[in-house]
Amino acid sequence: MAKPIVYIDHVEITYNLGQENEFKANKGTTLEVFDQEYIILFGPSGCGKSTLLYSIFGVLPPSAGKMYVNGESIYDYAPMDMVFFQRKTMGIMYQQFNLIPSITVLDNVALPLIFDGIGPREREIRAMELCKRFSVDKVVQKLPTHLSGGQQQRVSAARSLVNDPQILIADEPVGNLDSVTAAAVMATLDEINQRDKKTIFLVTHDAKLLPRAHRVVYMNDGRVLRVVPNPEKDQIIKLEAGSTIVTEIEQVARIYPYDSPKELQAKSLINFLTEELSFDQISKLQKLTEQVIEGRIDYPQYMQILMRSEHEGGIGIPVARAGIMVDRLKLIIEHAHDVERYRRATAKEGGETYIRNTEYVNRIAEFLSTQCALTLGEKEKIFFEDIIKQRIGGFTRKEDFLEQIQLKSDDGGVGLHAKQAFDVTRLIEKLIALGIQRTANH
Amino acid sequence: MRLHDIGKLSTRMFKTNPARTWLTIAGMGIGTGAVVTLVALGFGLQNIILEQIVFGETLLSLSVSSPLTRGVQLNDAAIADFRAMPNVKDVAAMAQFPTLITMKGLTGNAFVQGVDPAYYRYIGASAVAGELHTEKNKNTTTDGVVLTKALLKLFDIADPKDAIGQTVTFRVLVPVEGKDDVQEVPIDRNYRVIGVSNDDAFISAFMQLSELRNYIQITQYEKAQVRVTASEFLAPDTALIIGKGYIVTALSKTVDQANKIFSGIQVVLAVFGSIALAVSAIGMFNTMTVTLLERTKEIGIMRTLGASSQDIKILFLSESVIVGFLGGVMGITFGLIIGGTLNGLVNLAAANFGGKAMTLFSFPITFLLFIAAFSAVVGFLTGVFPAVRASKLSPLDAMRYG
Repeated sequence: MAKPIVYIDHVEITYNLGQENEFKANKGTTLEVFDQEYIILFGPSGCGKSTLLYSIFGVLPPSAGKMYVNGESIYDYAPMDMVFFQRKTMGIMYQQFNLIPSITVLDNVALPLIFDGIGPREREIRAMELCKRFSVDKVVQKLPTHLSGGQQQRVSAARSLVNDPQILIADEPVGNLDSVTAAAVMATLDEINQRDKKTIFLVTHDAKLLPRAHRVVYMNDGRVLRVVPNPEKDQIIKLEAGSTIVTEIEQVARIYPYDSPKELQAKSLINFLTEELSFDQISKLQKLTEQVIEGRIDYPQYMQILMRSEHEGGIGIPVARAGIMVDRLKLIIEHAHDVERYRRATAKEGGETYIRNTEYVNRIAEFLSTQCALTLGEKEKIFFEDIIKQRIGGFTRKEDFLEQIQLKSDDGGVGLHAKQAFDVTRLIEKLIALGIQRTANH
Repeated sequence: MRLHDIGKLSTRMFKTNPARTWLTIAGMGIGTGAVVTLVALGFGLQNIILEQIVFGETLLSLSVSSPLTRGVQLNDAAIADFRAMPNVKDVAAMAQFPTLITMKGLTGNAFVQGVDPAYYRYIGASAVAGELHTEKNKNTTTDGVVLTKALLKLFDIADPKDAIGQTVTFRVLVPVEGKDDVQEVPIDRNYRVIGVSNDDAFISAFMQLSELRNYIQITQYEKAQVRVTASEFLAPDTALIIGKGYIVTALSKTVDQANKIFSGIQVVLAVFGSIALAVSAIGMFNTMTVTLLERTKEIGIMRTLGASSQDIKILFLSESVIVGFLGGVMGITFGLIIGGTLNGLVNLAAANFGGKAMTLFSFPITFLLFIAAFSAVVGFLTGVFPAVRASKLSPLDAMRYG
């Protein structure tokens, strides 16, 4: 097998070594990465992924273990050799772009060549070429602050390639960009990996990006949890059949990115025991439902896709079940609107309740009663509405609500038994979850 | 990195922070300006004094006189003896007698001095009006006399020009050989005033030595000016002449002493100026340190883009050298403006009140070049500490800091 381009050999990284605030950010990492691989270091913030990334880059010496790049232990380099290593072998992209604001875009791109002592003509040709490629050639004479975020990150991509490095490291390169711009920058990175044949290390906590990598290194709490080859991409290193097997866990991991393998295994089992839908169907359903909530598709379209079989791009839910789902979804979305309207109206009127607001609560109470098949007397209805007001107004917690509706009507409650109370609470929480989010968005 | 790129990267502060940069330069400028002005005043004063005494050959002349004990005499034989000494180019003798001098019907006591034309050069005399005896005009000016400025005061002539062309007559008092008596020898010739010399202390009239000899037998000279060929022979020839029993004074010694005194004065003035310069240097140091803090993140970024710590150090140092140098140039400009203005005012006052025009502040070009270079050095020094700190920053810490 080919030699790895990067070999991380039992690396531990400790900040403030020997001081009171000593902190071990990496607790022993071993990893082999091969030429032209696209590696994502993935994990929640503080998991040590960026620390590892900067250690590969040569600016964060490990407190134990060795870091080999191209077979050489980089932290044994003399200072000038380290500079040459960073100049020739490594390119870097940051979340904050980190362009120098006082020099033009073209000079920013050419900066690594300037430090390398390359003459103006040669470096301008090279920088201009990259600017053209990343479509920032129209703005080369501007200062970086006059550029949009996406443009700045493309300038930064051009800069990272100007020295023609072997390895590109990128620390949350799209963390500051909107989804459309982010997608464009990620496509750029794909191209750098495939066309320029650069090895890429990308740090992110965004599970959306995972399908782009050859392998994903899941990290948490300073440790590598697991290294997972991406089944959707041709691997650089041809693994022997049977040496690794892609399981459902990887799919569950996309839904619950921060869970440990044990938790993921449990989730996989629970899914089988409690739901008829597979994780595949859940993933698709999730995306589809998002579109309905955002109003991008209407209910009939939603219903159609629900019913369509999986190989036709649908989700494959039986007709009767789909019908019930759509009806309930419709009702929940409608009454989530009531929650939203109620909150907006009360917020405007300083917490005082007017007739119109009472009407929203009225409707929510009606909906809950119908859905959970409650039969309430006049007195209980009044108390029920009051308790609902308290909850959606944000004055009581979910637990308080559950307790209050189980109280006898003499004590100001509704007198529901435990099962009914549980169902009602669950439903109203869905309304609130949907309604509150909408309020925040508007 | 290339020089051009270093220049480009280390002058960015004029774009990013023009106000602060120019204020720092102005601070350095004021400090340097103070030094320039004060030292220029020192130079000016020195020149004013030295201009009075220093004229080309004067410095190379030894003034020889006979001691009062009369053990040796300054006569023609002695003059010939001096002439024969090594490294002596010329000897000009001066004979002097007390005299009664009559001009415009007034008579006064003065001295008459018989001299060769070269004598004027050797004592550093110059004409404030008319002309002195020269090698060229000596045949046409046998009847010409040169009066000192001091003599004009005796006759109450304010403007030296008024004296030119006046007729004077002499009655010379010649000491009688071997007695303490003097004999009055009237010179039966009318002399015309051809020039006035700049000496305003000694009341005397000069005529050509050969002319004086026509009337008086000169056995002894008052003084002889021995002109040596080069300054390094001043000391040995002085020793030689003293060895013969004569008294020697050299103007060069006086000049040396004056120079020493003025060097002292300049040091004092420069110290005062340096206090101002130190204050501005500290200000500049402060600015450079703040700049360092501001740029910390940028330094980190540059380091990760392939800048070596040496590159970072060079960028910082060249920035501070540029600021220091421009501060120096600004200081020189300040100094020239202040000195020039004061010179103008002094000269204006001099013109109005009849004083002599003079250059109170003097700016030798070498001094100005030195200041420009020196201010760059000061800039360099203020930059060293921040530059070293910047270069030692770990790239990652630097980036996190920002």
